Amino acid sequence: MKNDKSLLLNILAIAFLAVLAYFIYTVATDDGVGVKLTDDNVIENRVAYRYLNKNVLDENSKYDWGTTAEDSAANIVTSVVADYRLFDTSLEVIVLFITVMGFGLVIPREDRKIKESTELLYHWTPIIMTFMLLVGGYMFINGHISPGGGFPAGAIMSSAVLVGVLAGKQTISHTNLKRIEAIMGTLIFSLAILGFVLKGSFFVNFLEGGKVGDLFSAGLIPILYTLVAFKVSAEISGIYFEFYEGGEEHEHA
Amino acid sequence: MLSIFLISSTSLIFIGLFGVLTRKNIVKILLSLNIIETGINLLLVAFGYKEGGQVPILTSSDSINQLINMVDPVPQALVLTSIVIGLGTTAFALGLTIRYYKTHGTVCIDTSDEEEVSLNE
Repeated sequence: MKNDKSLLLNILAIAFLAVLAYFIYTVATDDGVGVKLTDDNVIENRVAYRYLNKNVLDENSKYDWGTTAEDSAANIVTSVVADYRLFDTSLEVIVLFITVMGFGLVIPREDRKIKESTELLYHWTPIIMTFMLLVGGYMFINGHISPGGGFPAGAIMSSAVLVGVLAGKQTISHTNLKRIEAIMGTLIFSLAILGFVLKGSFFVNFLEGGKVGDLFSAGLIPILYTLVAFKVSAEISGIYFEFYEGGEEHEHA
Repeated sequence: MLSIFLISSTSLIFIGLFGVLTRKNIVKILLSLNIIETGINLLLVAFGYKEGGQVPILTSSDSINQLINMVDPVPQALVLTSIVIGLGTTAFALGLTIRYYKTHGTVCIDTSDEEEVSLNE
């Protein structure tokens, strides 16, 4: 298939990209008015200043170590993801759900098989899975005081399920995964509606904050991250089970 | 320092664009799309970078005084969203690729010969 046409195509692509790169370079180094990308980042001029000081809703909120604040999560990225911009995160969970559902729809239903696992993997799987689930659990419980959170924790927990699938062990059934996902999704939006009933706005953090830096702080954030972690891990594990159970059906048929 | 991030992320984006424009294997095109995505994520995080800045996480009573020196947390939160959505769309696209392979018998998008054969049948 390698003919002269593909060489011509490569040269054309390089020429096109070179023109594009020239324009981007010109814009990036232009001495126009306004703030340049290459200027030094001044945090006071940005919306992030309010997030850092935790005075978005209340102007007089004082953010301090060991005291309560408007949102007492020590991890400011978490407080942006799981409190101030929670609409983004909830819709992101819905997008992930839709793509995984679409994956189950488009994938063909025949010719799927999983190879027999080796002895080594089969016997080491419980030990590996225990450690992976421990790390995942630690990450979503500590998402508001250390790096981590619901999404990486869900990915780690679903990779524990993947190890189980590769070893040929039936750790959890596909129906139970769907149930977990449905219950967690319902709970996330029930909490949102509960916030609307109690405090008057959707997805409001209606629990008492506690001290900054404590494990039991940040109000609703650890609860929401736990729900998100289980939902994401159930969704991603569903992808592996699409292969696993399809192969089983094929063997029985 | 920001110019290093700019150069590396735009070069990643252009490597990915080159792959999308010239490759004919669907799996390679998807890989190139993921490279573009990585470049854009790096670019977004780099916009919030600050020279000598700190992680936006409080770790002790001292770090509350360093709030002004922290990097911008908003792009990091946005990139967290974008990574998860990239995972979902990549999985969906690979599922479509499997479906394409089942119907056409190839993962190449430049197969006029095979397509003519299947149309004639």
